[in-house]
Amino acid sequence: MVNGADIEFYIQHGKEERYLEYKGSMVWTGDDTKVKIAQAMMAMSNLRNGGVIVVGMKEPQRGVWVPDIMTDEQVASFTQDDIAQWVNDYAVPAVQFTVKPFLPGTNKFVVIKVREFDSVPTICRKPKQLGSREVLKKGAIYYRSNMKNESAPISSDEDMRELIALAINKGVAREIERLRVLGFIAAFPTPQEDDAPKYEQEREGR
Amino acid sequence: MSNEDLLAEIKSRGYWRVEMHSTEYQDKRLPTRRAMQDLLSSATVSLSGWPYPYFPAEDTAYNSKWLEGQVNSGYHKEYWRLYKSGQWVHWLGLSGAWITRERLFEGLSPLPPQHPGYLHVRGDVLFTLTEILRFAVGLAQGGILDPNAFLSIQLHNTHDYMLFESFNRFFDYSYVNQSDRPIEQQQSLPVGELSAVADRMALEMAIEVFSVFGWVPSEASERMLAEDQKKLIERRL
Repeated sequence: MVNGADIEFYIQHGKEERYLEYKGSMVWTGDDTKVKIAQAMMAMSNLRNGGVIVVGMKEPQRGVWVPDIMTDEQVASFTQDDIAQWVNDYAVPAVQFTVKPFLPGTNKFVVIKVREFDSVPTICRKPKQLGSREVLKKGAIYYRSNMKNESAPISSDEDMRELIALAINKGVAREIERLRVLGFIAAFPTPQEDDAPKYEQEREGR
Repeated sequence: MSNEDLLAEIKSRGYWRVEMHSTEYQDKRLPTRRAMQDLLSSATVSLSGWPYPYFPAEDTAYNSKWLEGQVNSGYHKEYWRLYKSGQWVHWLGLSGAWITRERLFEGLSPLPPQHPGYLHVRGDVLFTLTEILRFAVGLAQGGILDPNAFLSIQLHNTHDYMLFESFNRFFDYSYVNQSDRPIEQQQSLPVGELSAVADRMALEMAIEVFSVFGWVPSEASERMLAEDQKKLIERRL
């Protein structure tokens, strides 16, 4: 759950991070908007802890973001259902997210909070053309690299290793839990086992 | 300074106490000094600044029951023991307990309020805990924590200590530990799971410490902390 203080922090931060992407004022219905948001959402979903997209910012100088003017119509165009329908037509498995308007005063924003994937990374399952450009690539894994804060298909071995490690860790944790439920491995040990006195004696030199 | 004197000095102000061992006692998991030193060499964590633990192999002492080491250099004070059973016990002084306020916050005006000691959010808490937990993973990989690891990490003597951040980050001076009880966190878990959860566990333990100081990080702050921790681990700081 993102609360108001968190959103204010994300807006005031003014600098894109791996987990934080800013977008200029835009209306959801434009194809260009949909593609940019879809890329960002797929990329965020492949990050540990997911990420946040704030729509309604502008970049007056390189790397510095400040609030932009966003109209009521632009804000209202971003709905959970419309975004889910469009983005998850391309993303598989479906990206889990929430979208909310944030209207602190004269400025208006749309905040999309994307959850980290559940079991397997999100992959773009079909291409999207805008004019002659292929803007979403079939089979691409969108990601936000360590090297550069942009949502783009994975292109470095380092990023791929990081994503694989995250997926493996999740898989191992899930498998351990399954085996634990089935009784094949012991439940979590209690914090202090019976041998604690022996260790204490050892520390005291007895 | 003798080990006993150094330990007394460390305990006289704020310090970490770390205890790790298997839940099943075996008296000779590490039968020789060589086995102990080899384990420490491979498990020592060096991500930034001082390694955890400080382990100059030539400057350790062995008495057939345990290997011990110490460092007492300026504001950095620590003493540790590794027993033949594989039990690890470590006392690590907080540098912010020994540096004067004027020195610690040099260049800052006005200075933060006077307190008996100061804890840096990332350096003293999050990064230290990350290194401790990663060291535990190293011990586990050395086979001395099988089958289940017991971890106890305590922060002592930090009553009225103040939490602080670097100058370029906004952070209130109001987060002060009002409690005179040690902050103790302990956990037992299968060694096979340790490497998968160590970093997350360190972050959660750090947040628990912050909470005692009165700072409950927001979701945004948690993200910042997680990102800083990641940078530490990847040596990108």
